[in-house]
Amino acid sequence: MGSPETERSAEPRLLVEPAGCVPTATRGHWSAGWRLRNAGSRSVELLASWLPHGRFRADEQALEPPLVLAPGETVRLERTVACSEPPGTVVENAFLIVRLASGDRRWRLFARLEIRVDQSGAPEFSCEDVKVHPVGFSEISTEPTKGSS
Amino acid sequence: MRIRIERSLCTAQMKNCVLIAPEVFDLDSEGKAVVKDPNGAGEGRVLRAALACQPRAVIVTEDDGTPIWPGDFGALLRRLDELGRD
Repeated sequence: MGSPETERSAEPRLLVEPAGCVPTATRGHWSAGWRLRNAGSRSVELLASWLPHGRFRADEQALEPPLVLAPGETVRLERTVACSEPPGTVVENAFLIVRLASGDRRWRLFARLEIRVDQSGAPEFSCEDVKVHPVGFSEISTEPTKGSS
Repeated sequence: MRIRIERSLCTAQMKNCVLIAPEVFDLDSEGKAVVKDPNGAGEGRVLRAALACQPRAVIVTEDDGTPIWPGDFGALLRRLDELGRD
């Protein structure tokens, strides 16, 4: 395992912005889009995505083939999400999660979303924050490990 | 390398080919992809644009017609590696 500094320098950096949400033919289901820009210095593969929140939900779906995004490139990701909330509802702490590969490591991107349901019942969402974590590590600590010399 | 659009597969929805390689691809009046300039970007970017088309409407072949993509994903990744993905 690399040092925390090495981990950080290898960490993919992606910008995520909403790219629309339109109704599908199925009531309560919406086609939601995001633009993902690789703002880092290494290529990134997008492997799968899901939205686990019960009020703005899509099951995990693999991207087949994976999308390969070189530094500076932007791609659109689209998912059909289930959302049947009444007008005026605000859903906080929904997430778009994207499984990534970069270098020889796997990562997860967490884009925190806020969803506001308009008067017609259509969800609109903003992306509040984006974090990327290596798979298998919930946090990179800078504190010395207990018992280490 | 040759590029063409399988128009029946283009959903005119994601537009990822234009996002990744706008010098090569454009959209027609129906919002479907067309090849504007096959030499407008390097091979790596063209191949990544083809990969990003989930309906696989962007068809890339060698000059002799041998398929590059859609095709063997592993071979395509190795080719992208050789081209310098970073």
